[in-house]
Amino acid sequence: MKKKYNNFIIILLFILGILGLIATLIYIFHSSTAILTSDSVITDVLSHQQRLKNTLFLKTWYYGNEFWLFSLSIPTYLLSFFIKNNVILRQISVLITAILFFFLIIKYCKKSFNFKQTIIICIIFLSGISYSVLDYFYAFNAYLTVIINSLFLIYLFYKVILDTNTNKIFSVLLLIFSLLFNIGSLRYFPSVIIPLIMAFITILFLENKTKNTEMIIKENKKKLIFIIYIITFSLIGLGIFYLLTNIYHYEQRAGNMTLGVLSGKIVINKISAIIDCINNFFGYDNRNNPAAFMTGMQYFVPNHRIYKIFSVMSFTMLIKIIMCLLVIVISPIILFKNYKSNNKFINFLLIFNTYSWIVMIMLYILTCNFFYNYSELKYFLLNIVLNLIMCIYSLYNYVVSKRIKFYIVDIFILLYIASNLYTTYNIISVNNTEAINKKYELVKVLKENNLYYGYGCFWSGLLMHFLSNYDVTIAALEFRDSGLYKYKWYSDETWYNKKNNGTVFLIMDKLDKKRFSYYKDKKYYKPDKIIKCNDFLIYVYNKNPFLNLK
Amino acid sequence: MTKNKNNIYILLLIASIFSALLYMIISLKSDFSIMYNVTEIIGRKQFLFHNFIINNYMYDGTLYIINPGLLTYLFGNTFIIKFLVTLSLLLVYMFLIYKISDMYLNKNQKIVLFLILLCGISRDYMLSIFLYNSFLYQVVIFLGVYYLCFKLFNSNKLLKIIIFTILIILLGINSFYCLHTIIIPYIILELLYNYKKQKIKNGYKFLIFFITLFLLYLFYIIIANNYYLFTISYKLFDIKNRFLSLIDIAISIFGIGNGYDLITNGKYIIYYNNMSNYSLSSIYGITILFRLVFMLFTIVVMPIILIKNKNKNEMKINKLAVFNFISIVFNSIFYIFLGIASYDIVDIKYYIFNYIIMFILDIYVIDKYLLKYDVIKKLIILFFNIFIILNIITNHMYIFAY
Repeated sequence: MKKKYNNFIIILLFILGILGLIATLIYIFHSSTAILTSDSVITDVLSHQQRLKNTLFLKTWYYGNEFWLFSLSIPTYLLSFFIKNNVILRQISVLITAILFFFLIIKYCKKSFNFKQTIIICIIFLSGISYSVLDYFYAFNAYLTVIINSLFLIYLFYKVILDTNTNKIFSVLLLIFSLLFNIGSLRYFPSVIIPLIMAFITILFLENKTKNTEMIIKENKKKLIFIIYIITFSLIGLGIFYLLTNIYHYEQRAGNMTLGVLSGKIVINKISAIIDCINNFFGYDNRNNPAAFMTGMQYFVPNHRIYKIFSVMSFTMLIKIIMCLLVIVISPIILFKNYKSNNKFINFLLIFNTYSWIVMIMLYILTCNFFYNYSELKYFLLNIVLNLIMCIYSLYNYVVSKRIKFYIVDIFILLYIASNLYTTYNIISVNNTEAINKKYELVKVLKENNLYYGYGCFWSGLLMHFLSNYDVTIAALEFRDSGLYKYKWYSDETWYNKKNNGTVFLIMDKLDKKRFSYYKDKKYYKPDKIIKCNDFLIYVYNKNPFLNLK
Repeated sequence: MTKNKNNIYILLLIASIFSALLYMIISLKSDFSIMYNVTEIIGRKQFLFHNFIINNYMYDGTLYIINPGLLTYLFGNTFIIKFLVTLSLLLVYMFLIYKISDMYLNKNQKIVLFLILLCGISRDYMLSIFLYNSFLYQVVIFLGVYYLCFKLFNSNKLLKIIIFTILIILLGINSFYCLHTIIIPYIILELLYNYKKQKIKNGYKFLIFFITLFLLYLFYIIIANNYYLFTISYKLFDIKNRFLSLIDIAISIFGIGNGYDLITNGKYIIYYNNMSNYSLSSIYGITILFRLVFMLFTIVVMPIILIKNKNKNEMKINKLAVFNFISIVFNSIFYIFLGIASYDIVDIKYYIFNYIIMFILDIYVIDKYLLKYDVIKKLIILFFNIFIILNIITNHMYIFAY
């Protein structure tokens, strides 16, 4: 009876998994193009520039926040030798990173989960979870690579420091990647390295509570020396990172380490932003629909879709709220309560993740950040993913103690996956061919009018450059109150100094146009031609009036 | 604690005292504080009008009847006099802390408490204690009244009880706030513990307390009807802001934020811009991280440990913790709902007393429950030494800011 029931559930899970796989593939190879923004294509443009200039670090490139050394740019760069269409190139690269992610998840599951629990975790991720997760994983993608890198580092650390049988190759890899990840970005040290070390010290203490310090040091001398190596390699990596920021054009905005002014109001705002991020991950609010998050030409278009209380959508939201509570609140409490009976790997993840949450929240509250709203989810993705994995463990190891609870958990998980699939289906159906064609309209108009070089805001610039297969170059400008300035953020210095003998253009959306109308500089006001395309105005100049901008 | 470790703490204590005195001297010399001059201005008016309570003066709930500012006025508003007056008030503050901590902590624990209070845990704490003697005055009144309340309830001789009662009234008439911060919570505490024993012991002491409280309230009602004691403003939408400013006060006392300056150049509450460019990886940033850990321990971890071990704690410690909790609740009710304070970070003066009690509890909890594990003991000692040294260094950054 029990075997038959289990087989039935596994068959159901497989059916949902296949549906999830199809939905994910459709999203990667079709819908994601409609969701792309300039931010999403940064790594693609970067790898294109790296290939053009045959160098890893670009002298004339304006880097922002990080160098994206270990990101989508690696598969994109390698595949660019074989695939010429950059959209397909991107989609295949995204697929490769997605496969890597699932490979790592299976590796994690092998440590402490049975077959059924492993496929549940994989299918939950395949079901799409929410609009934001789909965007961050397969459209924006940069943050999926951050999760992959972090999971890889955590896995290596566990293998080398806490596992019994360790191959020396893992130790070497751990040191190399501690160095390399920290060269590329400022994020791994606080979110991964510090919590790893703190987790190790805590576990060491919990295992040797009664012993004195000298004895513990003596018994764990090798491990402690290796920890010192990891810290040293990470710090060297950070040192090189700071060196590179001085050599190249670099600006740190999000995740800035400068201390911010702190008050009760700021603390409460930032904490509610973190709660928003969690809502955003599970996607149970009516803000979470395809038109709401990072779409459109301006950032964060407010779009609250209204659903009826008694509708399928509100039912899926209810399921997602319950899942969110289970993942974020209930399962960590259950796991801490059962610390002694947990699997060793789960305990390690539990302690690591607790420290990582604390460090990230404290850093977020103490330092100046670019802005604080639900897009900050990017900082907490890794932590929520780990929480989700641990939640499945706690549900199937502690909650299902009685038969009836076993059925309830199974039915709830099936409902949760089905809810995710339903929202993913909605997202795919909205981001259809029509939506994709709309994205290409501006590129089409520019090409039809023989306009290949011009200026515009960042949000239209980099994306149009990418969608035009790098035929159209748009140097990003900042429309300040005092006039036009170079927007030194993921653009190339040489784009501003191109002495174009032919026509140049300036693309403006409604907001840019409003600011532009205040400027007193009359040379900008005499375009030789004005073209309209949807919400955009294209000013065409026969002679470039934008040379020598600051 | 071994002898060597004791020596290190004594060295750190000497460094902290020097650093605090240096801070006091340099900041007093720069002489731009309105808050310092509050006592001096009131002293001048008291002398001119030959009255301890002045007509047409907008008091903020504190009457300064026993006023150190009188001395500043009489002997001249010079640096030396200001220094001596502030120093003597500071010595009274230290004496009272010594006397109160003596009831709960052993010698080594007291050294640790004084280290925390002298090393400069935050810019705003330093300003409140070592520069603005009107703030220090408020804290001294609270400490004094608490000490006298404790002594009164633990004395059995009638003469002592009468003396303590008179002293409580003498101190109590100086500040309205000590009624709801100290006296009412203390009565509730004693009633609670007597109720637990299902028998009210020493009923006459309660009677004395209630009469004292009644007299003080009567005094303040008369004063409020004849003078400007304070204005109570009650607006519903303010409640959220006032609640948030409780977090501001915690941030301010533990020095976590990137520099509010209480009062500079005669302007009330401005951002201290020099502070806002520090990176988290600078010495200032690292100090803030250490302070943050200390703050989280004090506000979150310590109360949890105390509650979990309520049966293992000493009775006097449980009583101190309960008293502090009631005091904070009453203080905050008056603060949030009645709006008698100004609800910005100058209000830290009303909470410094409660935080000092929390530091005493911190030290007790650490010593009793955490130092029994060798690894944790070593980590805490290391953390504490670095914490003190970083605070002393950061304190010098404040000195140079003048």
